[in-house]
Amino acid sequence: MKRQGLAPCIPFNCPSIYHLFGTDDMGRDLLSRILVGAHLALIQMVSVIITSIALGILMGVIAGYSNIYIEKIFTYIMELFIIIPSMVLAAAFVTIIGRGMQSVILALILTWSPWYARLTYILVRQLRELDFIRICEAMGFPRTYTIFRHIVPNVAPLIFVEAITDSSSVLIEITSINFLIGAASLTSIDLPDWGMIVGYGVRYIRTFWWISFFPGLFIAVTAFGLILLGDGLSEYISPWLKRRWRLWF
Amino acid sequence: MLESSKKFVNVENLWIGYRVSKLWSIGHLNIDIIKGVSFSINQGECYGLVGESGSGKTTILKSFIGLVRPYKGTIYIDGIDIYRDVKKGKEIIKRIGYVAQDPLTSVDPRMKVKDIVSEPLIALGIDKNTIYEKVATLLKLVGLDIDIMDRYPFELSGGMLQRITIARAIISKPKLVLLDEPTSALDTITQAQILKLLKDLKDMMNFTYIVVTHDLNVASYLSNRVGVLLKGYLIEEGDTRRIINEPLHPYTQIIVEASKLKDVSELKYSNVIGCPLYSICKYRIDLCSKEIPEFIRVDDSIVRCWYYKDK
Amino acid sequence: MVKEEMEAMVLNNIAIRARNLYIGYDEGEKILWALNGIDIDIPKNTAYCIVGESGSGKTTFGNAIVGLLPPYVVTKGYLEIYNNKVIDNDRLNYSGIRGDIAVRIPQNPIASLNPYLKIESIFLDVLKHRFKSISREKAFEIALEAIRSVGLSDDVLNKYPHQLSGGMSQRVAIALTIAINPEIIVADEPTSNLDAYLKGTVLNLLKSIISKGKTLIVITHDILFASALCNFIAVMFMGSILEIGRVVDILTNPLHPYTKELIDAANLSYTNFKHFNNKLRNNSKGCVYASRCPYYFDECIEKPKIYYINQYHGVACWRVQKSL
Repeated sequence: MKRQGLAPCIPFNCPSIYHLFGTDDMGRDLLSRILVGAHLALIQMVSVIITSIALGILMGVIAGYSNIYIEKIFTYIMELFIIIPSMVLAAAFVTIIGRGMQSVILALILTWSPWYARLTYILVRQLRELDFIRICEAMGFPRTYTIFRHIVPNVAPLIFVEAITDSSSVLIEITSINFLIGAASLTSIDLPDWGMIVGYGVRYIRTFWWISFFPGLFIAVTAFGLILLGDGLSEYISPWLKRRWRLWF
Repeated sequence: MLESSKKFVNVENLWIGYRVSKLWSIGHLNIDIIKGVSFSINQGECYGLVGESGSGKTTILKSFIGLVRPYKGTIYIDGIDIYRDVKKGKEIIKRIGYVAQDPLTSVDPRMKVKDIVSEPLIALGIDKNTIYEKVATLLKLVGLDIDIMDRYPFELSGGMLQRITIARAIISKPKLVLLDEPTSALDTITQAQILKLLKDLKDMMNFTYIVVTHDLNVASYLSNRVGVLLKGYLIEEGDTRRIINEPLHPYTQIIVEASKLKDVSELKYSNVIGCPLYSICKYRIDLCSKEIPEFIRVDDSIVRCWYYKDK
Repeated sequence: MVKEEMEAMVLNNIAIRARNLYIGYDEGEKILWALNGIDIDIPKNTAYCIVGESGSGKTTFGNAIVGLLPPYVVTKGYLEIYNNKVIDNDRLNYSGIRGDIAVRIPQNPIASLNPYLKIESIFLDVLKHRFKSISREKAFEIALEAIRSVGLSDDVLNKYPHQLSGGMSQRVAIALTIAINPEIIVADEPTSNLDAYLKGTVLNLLKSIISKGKTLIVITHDILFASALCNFIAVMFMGSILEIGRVVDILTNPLHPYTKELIDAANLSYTNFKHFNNKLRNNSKGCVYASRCPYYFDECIEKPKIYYINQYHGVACWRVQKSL
């Protein structure tokens, strides 16, 4: 990861006017690193979420329309992958593929898409019982038409909203993995991902606290903001979830 | 009366059921939902199927559009056996209109009204340019404003949605329209409006209707003839006026009384192989617990009760 | 005869009194008014029916009587039950009323019973709340009596709700209210989830409740069912009462065009196919029925008050008022 023109200065500076968040052990300005880290966090989050939604819906729809044996196999495999923690998978991928964002992203996709697949599967099963799908079948449309024109447009918004609500968890998982695994090695790549910066600064936390503090703060605030976004979106989609008695509680 | 060649719809000895594996032992149980139902309908007629929930009336409708397969018996529509002659049968099924009970779940909530109504025409491969004109004509016919064409279902009331499903059912100019409790989910005034609409449409365009309902008043308003279903058996069939004025089968007598808001004792069905009414029927004889008769003709109607054996 | 004289006659015999009652739901940006100024007196020991379509506010009124209004409700005017002011402008006070004096038979019988409890446990639960210190045996006795009085056999107590049919669950719900022994029973659409042949049965059950000296309020959209059961009918539309009176008066001489529409529709002799809907006449201060009324004239810009043509029969319509 190029350092993008950040010139190293006097190491271990406290936050000051020249370095608003201070510098780290190699004299790199923390603010600039955190801003680049935002870019990285977004890349990782977006690629994980979009791929998981796509894969999840695909697998869920296939499972929802299969016969009972494939369904059973599908459910078992999905639950298996949901149970495995993403951190373990990421560690496994790091040893196989090598370090870098791709391991983290791959591990997270493998953990999250079964979750959306299962949700989609349940929704598809419910939708298939509804009258308008039945009438569609009776009208003589082939199955692919019914799936693409009726089932997917009804399933996709709900999965999308669920994904936005989950995005804060995804962010926390990404940063945690980078924190634990990314910073563990001595020959780590110089990724200014937020989790990695926190990992760097853990050693100096008693004295040069700002190295871990500021990226951690950014992680917390972003995660919280994403939760609120997800809440608001789900209230917009399903107005009956609105908390009408805000004034009382 | 029951010759198959001249009637438009002919159902002969229909048996629909399914097998479940026994819970604590090996083997299967055969559960029959429809047992030996036969009836026939002329073109332009309206046939009412009256029965409680659980009598199997919706299952019969489903077998007409191919959602449930009977394991015995045949269904002829316009002379064609829809299950044996697969290709022609599928063409006919595409042209059957279906109006479901709950207007909210019978339309795709993510489609605009004009797309909902025009869907059957897309299945028939009709040219896309003329479709929306047809939709507009039809919406006017069912009493709706054309400016709802671009609306979504959640913006409309139950009565309007039901009119939209009716429009969708008749847009392919079907000869047969199946109505599954079309007004059960609606208010009194809306119910009356929809029933009147259905009656006017039938008279205007010579549709053949099969109306399934649990309300005898609805059946008597719309139908020329009524068939009474009891736990999968068609136990009486005849002209509507006659059934309401002189019901033959004891079960029909009970539901006619009930439709006049009189108290009826709750029907406790017996689990015997024969007639479900065995435990509470005043005419019962021993034979009733083992089997019920085939169709016995009394004047213009048919009934399946041993009481009428020698009348 | 004017309302004041009627009031004086039945003053001590009123179970529920509402004056200028407005009930609305706070939607955040605006308030959705379900009841728009109701004035009604419901005497004790009568069967009173509130008839109207969905959206008329009848369910809200029923909920207001039994105290089941949600926390985001907005109220104006007042509602008095057995001389307790339960709604006094914006204050609500249902202590002693909810569950004790006024009880509701819910609409969907199967969904209103806890699927994890046997019927007898549901009874015990309810009776323990109602009669604070009641022994298990006594509660069981009361439950048994209630079950028998609705025509069910004793073994129903030992079953779970999913083992009962729709008609049986409705009877269990009615038996629960009988066991509580309240003064006022509100039946919310008692037949809408049941097959048509059970209407007569429910009718008789509710009649037997009246014979025990309770006040029964039936909320329905089926005016024929209401007329077979009740002594009085109030016809509601969009939150206002349009016509009110004894059953015999309303059926033989329906004055308001909406009442006539309801009766025609229930008899399936409905002739007006094209639903009259002239949105230009919508005016929040005018008659609520203006947009659907075929007899609209200038006076209807102002909302009519209920005008009594005899002791019990009143109608809110300028046209009727002018012609008499």
